[in-house]
Amino acid sequence: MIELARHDGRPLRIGHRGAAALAPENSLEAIGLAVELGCDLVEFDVHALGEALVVAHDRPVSPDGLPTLDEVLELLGPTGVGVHLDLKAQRAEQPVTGALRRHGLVERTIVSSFRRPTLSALHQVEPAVRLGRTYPQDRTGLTKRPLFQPPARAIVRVLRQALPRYIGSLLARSKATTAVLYWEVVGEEVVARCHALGAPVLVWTVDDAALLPWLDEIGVDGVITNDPRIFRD
Amino acid sequence: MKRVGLLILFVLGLAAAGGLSAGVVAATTTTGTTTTTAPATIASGVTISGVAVGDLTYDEAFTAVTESFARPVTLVVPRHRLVVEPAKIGAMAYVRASVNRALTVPAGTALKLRVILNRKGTQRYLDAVAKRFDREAVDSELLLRNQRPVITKEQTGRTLRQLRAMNGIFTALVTNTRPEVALQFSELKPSVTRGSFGPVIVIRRGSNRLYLYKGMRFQRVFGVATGQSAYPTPLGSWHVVVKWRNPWWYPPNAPWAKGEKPVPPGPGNPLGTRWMGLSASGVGIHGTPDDTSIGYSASHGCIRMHIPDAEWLFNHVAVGTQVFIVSA
Repeated sequence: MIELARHDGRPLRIGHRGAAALAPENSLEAIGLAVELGCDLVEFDVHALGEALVVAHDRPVSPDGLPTLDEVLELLGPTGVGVHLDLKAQRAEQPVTGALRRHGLVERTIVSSFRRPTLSALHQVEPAVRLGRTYPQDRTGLTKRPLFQPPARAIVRVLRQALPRYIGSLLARSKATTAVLYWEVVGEEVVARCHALGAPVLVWTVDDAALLPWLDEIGVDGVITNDPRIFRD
Repeated sequence: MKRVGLLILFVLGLAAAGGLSAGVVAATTTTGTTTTTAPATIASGVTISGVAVGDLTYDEAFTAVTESFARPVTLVVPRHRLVVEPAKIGAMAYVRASVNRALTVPAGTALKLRVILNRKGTQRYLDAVAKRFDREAVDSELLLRNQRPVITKEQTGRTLRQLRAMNGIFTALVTNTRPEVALQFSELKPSVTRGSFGPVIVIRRGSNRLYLYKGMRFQRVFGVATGQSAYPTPLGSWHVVVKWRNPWWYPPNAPWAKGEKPVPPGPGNPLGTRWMGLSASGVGIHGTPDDTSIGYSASHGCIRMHIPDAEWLFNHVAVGTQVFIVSA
């Protein structure tokens, strides 16, 4: 299983949808760029269209022009970089783990999902792959709204305060061993709680280099960003 | 007697010119010396190339055979059927002679209709068919779309097998049968296919990155240094023209290199360990000992790479590899 705990090192650098700020998101170019820019892992989204597993964030109408999961794994395989596969598709657990096995990447991959059934099913078909529970599910585009918008701010504050109390059951019920959290709901307490449970914490999506010292300070294990250039010293 | 003979010749001439019925001709040719009467109808069971003319008069038989021969030949092309009248391609049949002969043969005889084929006329027709249905083969082309290489799909062409077509048509006419003639085409293979394309390099000058593609498939991206504003790397479509391992560096004829001496291969060589010269004059992709320049517009027009990157790239491109340099 891929090691994600930082121990005494720096947080892991994770490219979001490749390096979405620098190339079309989830494109092979964006993924290649994330590798080139020194990311430790590259995150991307997987949808199923019939038999085809394609890499795209929103459910596509047709697989034309989209990279397939196989193409992405083929690209990442020889780089040695870790794979963060965000599984958007439902009932695609078998083919996804099959592809990871085929490329010999099970031990180098974390599969994350918002959905508890997806994670449980993944645990059933491939117990050796690391699972991450993504939270909260951003159905409403909450995280994309301007930060000062009062209701969104209030919800985020409530979540941040309550999360340390239920993060344990959130992980346990989905068989996940990693918390993949929106950075605004993360605080020192929840990171400590996760670490006590042996679960590393990855935060999304951080494009502001000014946040890095604080995230480092509270002990997050990995930072997911659209722009890996923020990690430059 | 002499006058009678002339008269007979005259009548014969009229008969030939005006197409008088065989009966009349037969009657006249007796020349009054005998009284045998020619048969008014053809014996039972006689056929002319499959047309039953038994018990028909000359006129009836003539019409039947003429109509039978005039049936068009159908040529079949995928999604099309071409109908060709024999007259259109200059084919003719000796209907009169055949019917005349039919009047003289015993019952049950199978005669063949003599047909004259017109090679030139048929050829002219088939040329027109070929012009309509032949397709040139289309080669794949390498383009740049949205700063990515796009390779258009090649198309197989076809050319009408004219001799076979002519044979088919002629057989139909000669046997006076009209089976459908399926036109056949030979495939024309395009000389450049999608598979013909190997590596493709796209250099984005603005972001100082070099993208390597295998055909249309992205393979790797590298940080590079490109030309500073005084010595911009030229935009456009180029290709690799030379590949040198451990190159010498010779000072170019430019103000910035004035007074510089050639540098032999070795650690301080400005070209690193690999040189991939482009068709753009004086410009190439090479390694650099100046690692800190990578990511910046810092060179004198060349594309600099980290030395290990240049060595890797060197092994993955060939002389002739297409290099697009774009401004993005």
